[in-house]
Amino acid sequence: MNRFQNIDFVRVYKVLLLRAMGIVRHYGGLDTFDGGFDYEDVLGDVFKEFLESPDGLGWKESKGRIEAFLGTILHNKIVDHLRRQKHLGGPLEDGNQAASPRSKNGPQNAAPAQAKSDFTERLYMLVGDDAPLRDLIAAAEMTSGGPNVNQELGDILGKTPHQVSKLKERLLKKEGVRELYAARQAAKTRA
Amino acid sequence: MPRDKQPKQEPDILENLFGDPADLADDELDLLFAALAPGTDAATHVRSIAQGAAVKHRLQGKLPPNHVQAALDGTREITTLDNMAPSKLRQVVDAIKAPFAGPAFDPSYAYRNRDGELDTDDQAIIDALTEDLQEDWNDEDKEP
Repeated sequence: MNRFQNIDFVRVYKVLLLRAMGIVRHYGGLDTFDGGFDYEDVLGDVFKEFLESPDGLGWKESKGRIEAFLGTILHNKIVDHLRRQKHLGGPLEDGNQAASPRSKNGPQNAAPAQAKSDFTERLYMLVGDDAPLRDLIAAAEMTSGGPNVNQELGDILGKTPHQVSKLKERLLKKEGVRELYAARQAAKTRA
Repeated sequence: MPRDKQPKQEPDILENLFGDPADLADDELDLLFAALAPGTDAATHVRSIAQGAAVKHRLQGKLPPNHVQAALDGTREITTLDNMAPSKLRQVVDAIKAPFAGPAFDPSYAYRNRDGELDTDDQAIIDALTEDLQEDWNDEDKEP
């Protein structure tokens, strides 16, 4: 058996597309780069490079999960696009703190921190006076964003993970929430 | 090429809510992906890229490497059940048998998926509709 046999590439693609949305959202970039090129195209490029490489860009289990390995390449490529387009609302070094000698709490981190609080405010605005969804957002503010997120949110809200999942489903149906997650706000405004 | 470490990106409120996609269970990931990338067929994208890569490797006089073959195998379009590997058949059967986890669009099924916020009037209407439906089915059963 080779090291690629048990990899679900469709799952990897889905994970990375959602991650790409998060990267664009994090840096406050427009979702479309020059010439209509967007993060899905960048993801396509990453997959193409990986599959056209004779050894899958040298990935092996000891280098960590393939989602993380390809996710790093994806992150760097998207940041390069955003840098070229000068669409960044935050510092590029934020994603590579190990290479940055500057303080984590310095002014270069102000924009992403501001963006994060903006997302929270916009979410509250989108759900209006829907109390269960407001509670859900409030609970999310108290979590660390680690694995088992439904369990963590459920513990705070006094609900089962299944009930949390249902609440999230309802949240996604609120107008504007999907666009906010998918970093589609800028494109929508421009249209 | 990738750098040594995965970029450290502080999670925002949406990541706190929906979690890291890599940690989500398959059904949660599918649900989120369907909501956020509607109309995107991930399998078709991957297959198309893998087919292109396989052609490129063959043009260089080489067999498609393991990772390309794995991507092709994992996204192969199923057009017949003949000669299908038992593991694939099991996946098809499991997919058919799996409970539907998404939103219910038929009102007679809708409230059973909801948690604790159903108006009693709505519930009465849905129950009446369900009874009507049941009667229709019973009538159909009686017909010769």
